[in-house]
Amino acid sequence: MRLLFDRGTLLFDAPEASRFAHLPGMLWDPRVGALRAPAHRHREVASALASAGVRFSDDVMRRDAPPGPWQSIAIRGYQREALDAWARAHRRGVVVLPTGSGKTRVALAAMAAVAKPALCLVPTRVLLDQWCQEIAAVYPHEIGRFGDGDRTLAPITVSTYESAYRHMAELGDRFALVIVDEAHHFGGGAQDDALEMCAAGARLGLTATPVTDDRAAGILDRLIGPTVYALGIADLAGTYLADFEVVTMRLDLTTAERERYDRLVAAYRGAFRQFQTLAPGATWAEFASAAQRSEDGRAALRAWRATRRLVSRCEAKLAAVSTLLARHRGARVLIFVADNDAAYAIARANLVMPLTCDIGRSERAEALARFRAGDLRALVSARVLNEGLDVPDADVAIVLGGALGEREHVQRVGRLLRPRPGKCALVYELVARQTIDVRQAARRRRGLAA
Amino acid sequence: MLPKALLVYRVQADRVLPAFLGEADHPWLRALIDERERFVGRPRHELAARAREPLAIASPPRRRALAAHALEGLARPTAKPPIAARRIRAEVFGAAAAIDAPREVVLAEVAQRIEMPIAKLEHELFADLPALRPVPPLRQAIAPVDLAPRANLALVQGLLARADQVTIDLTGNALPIVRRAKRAGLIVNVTSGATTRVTFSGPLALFHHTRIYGRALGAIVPLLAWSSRFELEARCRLDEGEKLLRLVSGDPIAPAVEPLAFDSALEERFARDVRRLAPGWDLVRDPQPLATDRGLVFPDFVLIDRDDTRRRWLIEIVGYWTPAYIARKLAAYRAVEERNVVLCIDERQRCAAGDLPPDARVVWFRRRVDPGAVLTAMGIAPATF
Repeated sequence: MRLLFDRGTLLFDAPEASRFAHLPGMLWDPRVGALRAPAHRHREVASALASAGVRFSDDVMRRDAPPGPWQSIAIRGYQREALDAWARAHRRGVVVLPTGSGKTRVALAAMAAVAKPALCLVPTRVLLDQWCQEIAAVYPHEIGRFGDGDRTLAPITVSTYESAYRHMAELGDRFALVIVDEAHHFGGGAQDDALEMCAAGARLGLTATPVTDDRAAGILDRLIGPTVYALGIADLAGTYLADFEVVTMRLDLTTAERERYDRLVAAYRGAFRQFQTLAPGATWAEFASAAQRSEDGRAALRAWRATRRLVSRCEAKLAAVSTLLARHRGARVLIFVADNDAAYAIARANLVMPLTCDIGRSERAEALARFRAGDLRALVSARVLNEGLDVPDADVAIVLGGALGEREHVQRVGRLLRPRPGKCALVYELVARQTIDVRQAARRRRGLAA
Repeated sequence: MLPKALLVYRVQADRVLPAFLGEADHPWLRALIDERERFVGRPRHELAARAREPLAIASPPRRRALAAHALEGLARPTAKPPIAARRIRAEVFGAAAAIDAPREVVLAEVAQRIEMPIAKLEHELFADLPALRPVPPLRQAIAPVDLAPRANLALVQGLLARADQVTIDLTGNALPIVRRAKRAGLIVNVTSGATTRVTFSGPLALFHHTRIYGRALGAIVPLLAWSSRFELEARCRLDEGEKLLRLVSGDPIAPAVEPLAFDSALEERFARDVRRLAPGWDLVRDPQPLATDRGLVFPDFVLIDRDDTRRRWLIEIVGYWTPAYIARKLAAYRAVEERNVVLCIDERQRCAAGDLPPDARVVWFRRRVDPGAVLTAMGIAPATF
C-alpha cells in the first residue's frame, strides 16, 4: 500500500478501503476508486497509519535535492524565542511580531534549521523580489521564483500567493516547510486552497497583525498552526524599534466639498437603510453584494466610493501635505493615500515619487535605493508600501487615507520604526472633520494601541 | 475571472439563466464598437470614463459592460511603454529633492536640462502608466454578430469559474475536450450510452466547494461547438446560492478555433519521430474511443502496419496513474480484445516498475517519449523501420 501525492491531495491506494476511512481527512473518491485526503493532512495521515501499525510506503514527498548549506544567521533574543516556540509546537504555528522587527530573519533561521526544501509565500511581486534578496544574503545558491512572470524551481523557492494558488497542484509535494508571510491574508479566501494542497508538514506563518475573527483564526490554526509567539509595537519600541508620536490634524472640507459630501452620504445611507428594512440586521458587506444587482444599488455604491475619494483627498489634506513636506524638508517622508489616483495627484503637485503597482519592478527598486541614499525626499503610495517592504529609515509618515482599516494602519506605521539612536518617528494623521474619516481614524488608533 | 458585476443572469427556482446577448442587442453593440474606435489613440482613462456613460442607443448597463469587456479582449497587445517617462520621473523627482525651490522652478530647471518644454515635461511625467496609455486598436474589425457570442462565452466562463464540477452529455468529438481537461489537471470520468457522458472535476473538489478548477472548466466550453450535440450542466455557487447552469447545442456561444491536431509539444514530437523511424507504418492520431463495460478508453495513437492492416498497436500516454488505475485500464483494453497496447508513463510519478501488472507493456519517459523504445516494446525490430 502506498500513500501518493495527486494534484494537491493524497491518494491512498489501499485494497480494503473501508478499513482506512477513519484516517484524518480521508474520503472515498469514487471517481478514481481510491481514498483521498487534502495534502495538508499528510503528517496526520502518515502518523495515524504508523500508529496503527499499518505497513505502507509513504511516497508523498518528492525526493528532490536538499538545499545547500546556509551561512550563519544572526538573530536577536526575541527572534530566537519565537523560533524556539515554533520548534516546540512541532514546527507549526504563527509568529506575531511588529513591522520592522525582523520577521524575515525568523523565517531565514527556520529554513536553515529545517535544512529541507522550503517554499515562502508572499502577497505581492514587490515582496517576491525583497524575499529573494534577503535569502540570497545568507543562502549563496539558486533561489526559485514563482510570480511576476517567473517560474523557476529550486530547493528554496519564493512564490506570490497568486502563483502558489495556480501551481500548488504541481508544487505541493516538493517542500517540507512552507513559510507564509503576512499570514493574516489567509483564513477565509480562495487562496486557502493553496495551503490545503501543500503537503509540507512544517509550517510557519508571519504577521504583524494577527486575525481577530474566530472563524479565520480557526482556519489558520488548521492550515498553519496556532499563534506560538506574539509581541506588539509597545514591547519593542525604544529598544529594537524606534519611538514614535502620532499627530492628528483635523481639517475642514470646503463649502463645495461639504455640500457634495452630504449629498453623496444621503444617497448611499438611504439605500442601505432601505435594504436593512427588508433584511433586518444585514451588514454592509451583505448590502454591497446585493447592491451590485440593481441600478439603484450600484448608484449607491458609486456614491459610497465617491465619498471615500472626496474625504481622502480633500483640498485641505492636499494643502497640508505640501505644508508638511516643506516643514520636514530634510527628513525622509512616506505619504500614504487611499488609492493610486491620489498618489499620482500628490506626486504631480509636490514632485515626489509615487510607488504604485503601475510602476515597474526595476523602477521601484531604483526609487527605494535613491530614497535610501537621500536622492529622493519622499515616496507616496496607496498599497505598495503597506506591507513587508523594507523601507530604509524613514522619519515621517503622512496618512491621508486608507482602504483597509486598522491592520493597514499598523503596518504603515511600522514602516517608520527602524531604530536609530535618538530617533522618534512622527506620524501625521490627516482627518476631515465631521466625516466618515473621524470614525475610521479612531478605529485606526485602536489598532495601534492593541 | 470575470468580475461579479459583469455576470448578467436571472435566477429562476434553482436555475441560473445567463442573459445572453442576441440579435436585439446588435444596434447598441454596433454603437459600442464604433465608440471604442473613436477613442483609439486617446488615454485609456478617457475610454473608461466614457464607458460609464450611456450610449446614444439605449443599452442595458451591465450587458454593455460585459460586451466592452469582451471587446477589450480583442485589442492588439499594447506596445511596451516608452522609457522616456521613467527617465523624466527620475530627473524631476531627483531635482525636487536636490533643489530647495518651488515646484515651477524645479520643473523649469529640468525642462531646460533635458531640452523639453515644461508643458510636455508635465504631460510625459506619467504617460506610460496604464490609465494614460493610448487605447490600442482591435486586432481586426469585428461586427456585432461576432461580438455577442464572444461576450456570451465570457459570461458562461465567468459562471463556470464559480463551479467545481461539470457534466456534459455529448455526441461526437469528445476526445479534444477530454484531452484538454486532462491536461488541465481535471479528473475526467466517461461513460457511454446513447451519448457520451463526461464528468469533469478536480481532486480537491471531493472535500469542499472550490474555485480552483473554474478556469479549466470554463476552457472546455468553446470546444463544445465542435461536437454534433451537447448538453452541459454545472452547479454554480452564486450570491443567490448554488444554482444549476444548463447549456445546450445552439446556445449563442463563440466556438474555439478548430481543435489542434496535437495539444502538446510532447505528442507532436512523438508523432513526427515515429513517422520518421517507422515509414512502413501509419500513425493515426486520436483513433475512435473504445467502448468498454466500464466506459470509454481513449488511446492517443494507433500504429497500423501498411502491408497488413490487421497488425495494429494502440499507444496511450498516461498522465495521472496508480498501479490499480493501470490494472483497470489494461483490463478495459483486454475486455474489448485489444492486447496490443503500449502505455507511455511519466516516470516523474516515481512508481517502481514492479508495481505494475506483469502484462503491462510500459515505456517510461521524463520529458520526451522515446519512439525507438515504443517500437521496441511492440516487438518491431529496428530493421523493419
